[in-house]
Amino acid sequence: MPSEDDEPDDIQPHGEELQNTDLEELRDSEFPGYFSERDGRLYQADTVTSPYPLPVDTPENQRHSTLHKALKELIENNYIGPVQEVLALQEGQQKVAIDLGCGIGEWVMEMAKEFPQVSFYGLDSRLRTATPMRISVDLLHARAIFMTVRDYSVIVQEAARILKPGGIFLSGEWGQFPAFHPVLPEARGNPGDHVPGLDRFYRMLPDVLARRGIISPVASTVHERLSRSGAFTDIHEHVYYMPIGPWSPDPMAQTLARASSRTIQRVARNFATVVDSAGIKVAAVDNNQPTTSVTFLIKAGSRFEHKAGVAHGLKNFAFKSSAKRTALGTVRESEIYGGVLSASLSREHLALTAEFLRGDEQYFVDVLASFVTSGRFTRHEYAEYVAPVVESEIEESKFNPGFQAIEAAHAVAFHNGLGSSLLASPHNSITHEDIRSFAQSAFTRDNIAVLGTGIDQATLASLVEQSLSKISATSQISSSASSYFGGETRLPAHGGPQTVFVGFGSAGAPTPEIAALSAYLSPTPSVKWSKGSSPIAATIPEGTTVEVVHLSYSDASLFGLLVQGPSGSAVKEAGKAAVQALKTVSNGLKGDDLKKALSKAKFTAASAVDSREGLVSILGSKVLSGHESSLDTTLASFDKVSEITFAKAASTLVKVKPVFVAVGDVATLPYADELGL
Amino acid sequence: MPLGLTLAPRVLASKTLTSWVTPIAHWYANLAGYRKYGLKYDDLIIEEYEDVQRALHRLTPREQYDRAYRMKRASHASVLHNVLPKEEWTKPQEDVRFLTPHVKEVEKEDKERAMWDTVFVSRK
Repeated sequence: MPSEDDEPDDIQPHGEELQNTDLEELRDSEFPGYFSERDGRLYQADTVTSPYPLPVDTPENQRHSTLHKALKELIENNYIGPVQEVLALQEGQQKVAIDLGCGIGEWVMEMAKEFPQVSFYGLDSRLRTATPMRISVDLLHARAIFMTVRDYSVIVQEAARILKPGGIFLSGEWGQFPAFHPVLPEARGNPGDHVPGLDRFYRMLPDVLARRGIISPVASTVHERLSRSGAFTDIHEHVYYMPIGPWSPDPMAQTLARASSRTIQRVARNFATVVDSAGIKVAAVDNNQPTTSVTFLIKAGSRFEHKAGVAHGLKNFAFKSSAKRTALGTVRESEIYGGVLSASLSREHLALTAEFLRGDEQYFVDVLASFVTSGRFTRHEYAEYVAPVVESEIEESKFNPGFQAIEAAHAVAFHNGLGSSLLASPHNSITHEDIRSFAQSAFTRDNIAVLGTGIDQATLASLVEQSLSKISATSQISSSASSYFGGETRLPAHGGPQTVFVGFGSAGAPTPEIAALSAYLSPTPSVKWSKGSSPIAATIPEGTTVEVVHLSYSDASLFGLLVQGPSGSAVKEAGKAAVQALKTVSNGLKGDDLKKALSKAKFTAASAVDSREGLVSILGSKVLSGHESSLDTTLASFDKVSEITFAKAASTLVKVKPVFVAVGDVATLPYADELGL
Repeated sequence: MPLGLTLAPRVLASKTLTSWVTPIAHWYANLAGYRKYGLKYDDLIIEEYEDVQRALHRLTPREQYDRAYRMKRASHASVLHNVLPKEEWTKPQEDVRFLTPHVKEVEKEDKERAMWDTVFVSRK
């Protein structure tokens, strides 16, 4: 046994001295240093010294566990070769064995039970980066670890260095290809033809690994590496075939096949979370939904337009004729496939979405891509299909004073850029040429993110790469950085409720404090038809409503209260109460109130990710802006909110010059000062 | 079929045929007389068809205005039982097909719609 000072701290001993050794666990504070979270999976944080691409969380551990059992079943033991002889008890000599890449330690624990006289050490780079070991061992076991190092030669050198003369090195690696099992009577053509998905996965794998600097495949080279190193004699190679797919009548083989296909699927899914960066950003999440959606998120929102209203026109031009198919063809073909195509516009993004049954991705990605690459933007289509819809959307908005108020608030708050309206003006002079030139400047490689749900990343990435290979690389559109102004405006309107919007904006990224503030103030009760404990809900008169609006953009946010009621005087009363409540809360929240606000805000943030639209908009803006962020970091940011930071953020927010918009009967609606602003 | 049958594409495909037929075509167009009333060939397309009506809507405002002007001037000349003064005659280079491409486009759309209405779908 090695002496105490000899023992490196990254080794966890197992076996007979297990009782007097503490298993070292990471403390919560150390946690972020070791792991980072992406798309709901935990990965190693340190990607510099370790290239390991797979996650390191519970589902992954379950996969290792399944794999271990399947392998043991296949090999019918935990080892092959003269292991028993090497580890046999010898007078005056403590035998030592190391398992490299022990994972959750199943192999090492089982071995320790079988050879109680031997000291077993499990070593896993997933917890600590290995420091050179000053230890010599009798048995070194390394199974499926080639992804933990960039060059497998390092493992061979280390094995040669630390093994005692006469020691044994057990290396087990996966061959990265499908093959025919030797019991099959004859090989039937190319094995890849029988498992096309798996075949594609394995053909893609070396490239994906190469991006992380990992040299693969390794399995076929281990024998040669060992003999070339000159340190090993008596090298034996055994090939085992792991069945995939239940082709064999043998029940044992069927069980194994199920286990192995499960683990392969999981590996494939782990890889699917890696964001592909071959020009276009592609992200996909597959939660095994029955349908697939693909969204082309394009930075072509109204803030980027060079002429007011072109973004609105472009949205309605979506899925009209392209070089590949006419507008009618798109409608009828999508109908036959049973999919839905839609386009939506926000101030920052234009989203072109296709939702369809699994398996139809080739057609629908092509529809989206052919519009982006070769939309024809003809004059007659603009006149016959696009302009009437644009007009009717403008007309419809006139009967929605809430929407009008928020549009006007943006104009007052941010002037240009974010201030530009989502809709074209009723008397616009937009032409198909304007829309075409806007589309040409916006539909570029660096300006598009492709987001998929219910589809695997590799499939989506390859479809996108094929179909968008021709578009130009850099966009010519830009928007000035947002700055906040504030001010007052009044718009006469008829029909619909009387409406007042009181808002406070700020340039810069949205903060969790303001999200908590809006969650706390929001009078929408947690149970329908009940009255919540929001300070606004209790004080506003019957028949009036107050909606808390918190809109966040990449470089600014707008927080506000949308007050609506049947008459100007009712709105005035409700507005006064709401502003009073906001001023009180902006002095700070204490104890339980803050906790309540934070948990409501957390729920809002988390449930937004649950819906397809929410996920796409959140993931999409992150992907486009290049931020590596996730739901958990958002949720974690709420934990950092304290009474002090909340009071500071809230009081800063209400100190700025407010935005005040009145829509409706402007003669009776209140002015800003009447509400106590 | 507002456009009627035409052999023009076949003739234009062959160099020899084109060189033979072109002088005859010019002679015929001048003889037809519409140029003397300041009209273009496409003004003669019978417009009482849905397809042609849709095609007419696709003209630019300028083209629509000019077409109406030519019609009005020609009918005025007709009332006077006289052709226009020679400087107002349509020059051969002005006699371009401004409507035919739109009519063809509309016909193509009709054809496509008919195809989709009667298409037989089978899953691959």
